[in-house]
Amino acid sequence: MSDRFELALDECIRLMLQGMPAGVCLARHPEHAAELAPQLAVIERMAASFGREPGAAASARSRQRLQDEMASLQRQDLEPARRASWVERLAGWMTTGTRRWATAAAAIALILVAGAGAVAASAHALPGELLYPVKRASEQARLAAAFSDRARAELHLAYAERRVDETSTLVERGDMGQTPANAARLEHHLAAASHLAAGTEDKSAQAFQVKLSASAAVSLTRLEQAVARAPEAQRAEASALVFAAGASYAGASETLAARTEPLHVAGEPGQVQIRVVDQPPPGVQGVIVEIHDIQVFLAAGSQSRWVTAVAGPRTFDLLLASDVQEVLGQAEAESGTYTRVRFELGSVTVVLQDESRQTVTPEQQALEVLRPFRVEEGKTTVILLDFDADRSLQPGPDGVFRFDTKVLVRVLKTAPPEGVAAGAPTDATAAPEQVSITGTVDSVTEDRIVVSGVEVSINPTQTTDIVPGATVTIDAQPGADGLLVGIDVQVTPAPPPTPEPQSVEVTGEIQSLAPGLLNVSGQEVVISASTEVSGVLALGATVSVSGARHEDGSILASRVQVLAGLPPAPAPEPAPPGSPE
Amino acid sequence: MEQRKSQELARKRAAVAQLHPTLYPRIVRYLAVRTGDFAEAEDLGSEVFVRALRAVERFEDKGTPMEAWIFQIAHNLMVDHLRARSRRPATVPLENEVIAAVNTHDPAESVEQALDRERDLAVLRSAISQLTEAQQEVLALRFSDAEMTSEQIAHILGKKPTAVREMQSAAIKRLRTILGAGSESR
Repeated sequence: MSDRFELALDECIRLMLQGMPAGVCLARHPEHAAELAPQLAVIERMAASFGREPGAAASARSRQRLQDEMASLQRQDLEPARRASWVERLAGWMTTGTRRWATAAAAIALILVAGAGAVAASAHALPGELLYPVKRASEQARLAAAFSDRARAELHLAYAERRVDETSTLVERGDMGQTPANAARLEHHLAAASHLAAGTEDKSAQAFQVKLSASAAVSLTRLEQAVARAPEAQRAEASALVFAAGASYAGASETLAARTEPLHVAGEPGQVQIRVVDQPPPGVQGVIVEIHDIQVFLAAGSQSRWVTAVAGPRTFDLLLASDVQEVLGQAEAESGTYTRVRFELGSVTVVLQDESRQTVTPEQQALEVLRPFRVEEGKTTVILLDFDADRSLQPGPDGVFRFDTKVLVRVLKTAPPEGVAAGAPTDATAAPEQVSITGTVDSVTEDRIVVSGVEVSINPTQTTDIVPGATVTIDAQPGADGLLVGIDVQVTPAPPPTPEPQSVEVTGEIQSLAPGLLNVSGQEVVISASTEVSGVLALGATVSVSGARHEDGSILASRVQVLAGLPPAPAPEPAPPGSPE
Repeated sequence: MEQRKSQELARKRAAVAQLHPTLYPRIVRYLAVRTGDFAEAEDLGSEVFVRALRAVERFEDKGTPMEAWIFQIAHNLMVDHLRARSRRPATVPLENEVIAAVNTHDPAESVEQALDRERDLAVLRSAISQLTEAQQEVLALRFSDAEMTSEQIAHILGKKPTAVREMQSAAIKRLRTILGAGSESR
């Protein structure tokens, strides 16, 4: 449906809720009346049920309740604050924690039966192993004994990281049997952590959000490393676990952001930089990808929104990004917690070894990856789209390529995240020494050049003859202050204009016939799904071909008409005289 | 400093109370669409304002209107309520709901009107529950306030206005399919 229809519908809803009859709306939009009428009937019904005022009694009760609460709060304000005695705290815990006691009792019973030695030995147990229930029971006992929601939230987060560690070990061994159950446990721990943290004081909840993002960075890196070490046969299944874990972490971050009262304070901005890297497929010279806007999602309660990190369309060659990460663009972004990355692919052009090209429509064009990350004030967060063209690009039995997008979203930073111990596996240690940036020059000064939003420090000799608007490729590496330092700057010459395909018409005899390809009197004719064919194509038939001649000399046929069928069979040779008839 | 803080707190609490007359009906309508029960929505709406009063000390007016903040509280309360409701045993039979409606109906309408309204509400509740979460949220905000625009809804939900109108259109079309031809004969 067009946006005009939706605007008309939107106006009609508003008018009908204000009491206007449906007929008036239809008269205002006669061009949409036929489509609108049945929709307005539904709106009328909903308005009758929901578009009314609360009862007078209910409104009065609500007002009274509000006044009572106001009075109660004012009384509390006047009472001196007093610290609850340890007896009161214990009593409160026991009366509200009945269920926790039952779980804890069962856990403690199991631990008592297993013995202290078994508990210690279970610390490294994996799902499916004999001591794993003892490990889980020990965790349950600690949760039950925790004195506050914040303490329980911290424990759940720690246990989430344990689940990731367990899954990573299983993945590296190629033992995938228990990984789905462990992924479900991970989701449970993260959901519990965010729910508990959301019930704490706002500053505490906001601090927990930062911890959650740091935990996500460590956990997802651990999982990705495990996938890289997994046996080849299990790698696809293992990769799915990374997506699932990213989604669990992102869901927890968004839950926390939504449940925390929307006190998001817009701080100083940071930067989000998008890079791409690839695992190249064999047998091709290039994989040129067109990508539209790349956006990231700021999770900030009622102010959550999508932010454009790279404004498309942008085109890049995946094979050029196999040795060096290519920077697609950079944008200023409000500091805070982000939980998703989305982008839409346009066309994918495969350049084969013989220079021929195939344009492929990706099977999945719109992608949204759930993966939490932080943007810090004054710092740059690098999002790496790690394409796997080797797995994404597959030739079909007919020689036509399919592109089933396989991409990992990884988060790098130019500076290590706070709170992460030195030596711990972090994305920051994976920051490469060199990157490549291809794009349009936004601005150039004596010692700085900005390309597609990315600022690079250069020396004056590198900027000679470079003007805004030029297309350049810069090889750069991070400097001590986080700013990229240009190593080499190349101005990309403008590509020669693509010649318009020449229209041709040929008539001749079909000399060879294969699926999608004819030879008509020595000329190669390509038959595509859009070619109009009249008559039966057969060897020897005379055809008229209309189409466009391409650079390689072949004709892409728009129309093939059979003028004459097979040539008549030659007349039998007369029998020699005297032979029997 | 303490006196200034307490004055600020008093000002915020007063702001919540001042919003009640105009905002309570909108919150109730929003909750009614989401829960499918107007009476429940009236009670929950009251709870929303109590919670807002308790939490308003932490509210800071930095571009987010207090109304949007209170809608957020309503949304969270609705989520918790629906989750708790899903864990309860089977729903009360329709006859009991009808009896409840008759006992509490607005004197301005007849008993027959109250019965019809409750029956239709049950049908609509079932239909709305088959929409996606985002579609339900858009419709609920839309029907909460006759003056609410798709731009305002977009701001609350963090979406573009065109996306809001598309979801709204898709939701109503889907409702029409679920409700069947009966909706056109009413």
